[in-house]
Amino acid sequence: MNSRIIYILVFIVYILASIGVSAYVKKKEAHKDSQSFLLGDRSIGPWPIAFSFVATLVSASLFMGSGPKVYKQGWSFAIYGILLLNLGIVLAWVLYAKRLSHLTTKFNTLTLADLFNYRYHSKGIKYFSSIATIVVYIPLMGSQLVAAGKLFQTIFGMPFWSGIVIVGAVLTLVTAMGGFKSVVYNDFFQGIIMYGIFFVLVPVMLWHVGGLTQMNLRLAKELPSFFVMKNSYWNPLMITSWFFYFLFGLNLAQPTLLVRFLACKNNNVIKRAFPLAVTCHAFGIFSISIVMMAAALVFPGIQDRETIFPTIVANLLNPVIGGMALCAVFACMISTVDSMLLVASSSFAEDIYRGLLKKDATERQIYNAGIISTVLIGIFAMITAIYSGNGVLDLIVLAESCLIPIYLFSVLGVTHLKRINSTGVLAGMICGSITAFVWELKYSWDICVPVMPAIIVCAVVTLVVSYLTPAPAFAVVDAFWGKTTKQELIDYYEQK
Amino acid sequence: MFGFPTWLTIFLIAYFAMIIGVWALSYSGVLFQEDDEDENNKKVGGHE
Repeated sequence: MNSRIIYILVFIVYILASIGVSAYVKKKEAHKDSQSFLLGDRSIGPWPIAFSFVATLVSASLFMGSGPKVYKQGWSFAIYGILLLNLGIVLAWVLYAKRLSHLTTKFNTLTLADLFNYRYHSKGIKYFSSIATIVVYIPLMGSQLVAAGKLFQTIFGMPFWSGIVIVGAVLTLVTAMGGFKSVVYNDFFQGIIMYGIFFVLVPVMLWHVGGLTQMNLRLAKELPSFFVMKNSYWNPLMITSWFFYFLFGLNLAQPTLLVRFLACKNNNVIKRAFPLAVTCHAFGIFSISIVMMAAALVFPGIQDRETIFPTIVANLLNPVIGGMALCAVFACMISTVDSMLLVASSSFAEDIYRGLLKKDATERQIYNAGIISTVLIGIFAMITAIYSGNGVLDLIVLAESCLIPIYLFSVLGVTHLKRINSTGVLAGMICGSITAFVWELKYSWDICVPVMPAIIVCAVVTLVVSYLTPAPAFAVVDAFWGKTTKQELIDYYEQK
Repeated sequence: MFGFPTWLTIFLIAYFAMIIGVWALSYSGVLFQEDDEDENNKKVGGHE
């Protein structure tokens, strides 16, 4: 049988299995209200939380974007990803997990925007963060679907748009079917596919280059720049900006990841999920690095980084295993995009629909608004992907650069920074995201990745404006760091 | 070791030590200790 047909058959089985996981969760968990749809009743165990955290963090970029950069730059790039991304995960869990889980319990909140509302009580922050999240997530989801379209084109020989529509429809269905719990269990399943394939792929690649020792010795001889920490591409500003992106941006300011902390029921779940997430991520990033460096020896000279992985699959793997390896790329996409879709739709349902359009909405109406907005946002993401011609990594970094200033200090203000106030946070959000956008238009990546100037501007504006304007009221600070109860805080805001 | 240059060997050993440290600190309760404030807030919080 033709390899292409086998790939398509394996893909169909994988897609049916993905939908099956969601259908199973939906059947098991009859949804009654928005608490169930948005946070899965906070009854999810450590393994699904950890796997879904990592699967959401790791996008198609692992195989199609930043992963293949290792093919070009070897260990000199891999160690930044390995070290900084992993440190970022450690930092995110240590800084946020316990605090956010505890605050969610205390205030009975469903979204980050709800927490922002108690902390800042600012409609500007609530609506700006919600609308900006939806606006940024649509192209971000689109960038992942572009990768799906390219894979369909190169591997299955099908039109570009067909991959976008098929994968987009599946993940919209998966998300709309069961909400948060469905997304988490689906991500758990996708994580197993993503990381399971490395148990085959790494030995195969090492076998082709004569083992790990032989691979390193050959790389040192044939591609010595792979071991050089400083080369022409890595000027100090560029290194620092990637440091900002990997360490702060990808982990500390992503609502798709932060919402996992809201869903942790207690410390027992956190302390078991945290090391699992760190180890699982380390295994994945270390594995793809070895695969890509071995590929640099086996298939030298591939220019288009998005075709490196398909080349490995087509030439070195049995068609069934190759089909599963391709499904791992789709798993990366689906696990990332379904979480974005859920955050964007929950922002719409909870913050815009209930907060702005229909203030007296019932739980059922909010639940329905969540499903309808999931479908609509999914369709918008597909349209964006079809009309987008950009490289996957570039679009991801731009969209995330605009998103990071919106969440970095607003969340730190909820968890750690008592002195910052609503005026400072809103000013920082707006100035930071505008800086990212303008920097990308004016300088692109010539000097550094736009996330660094965006974070710096956001930090300076947030802190300066906060210290120039009145400090948050005692009731607010005491509600978040002391004994004041939720009801006392609500009473305070009503009196105000 | 495994053909890695010395600096990379040291880096990788430190990296794996960090991961072991994460398991040790997490399971020993050092990082995510249940404190009095948590217990208190769980009592005063609750669902509407």
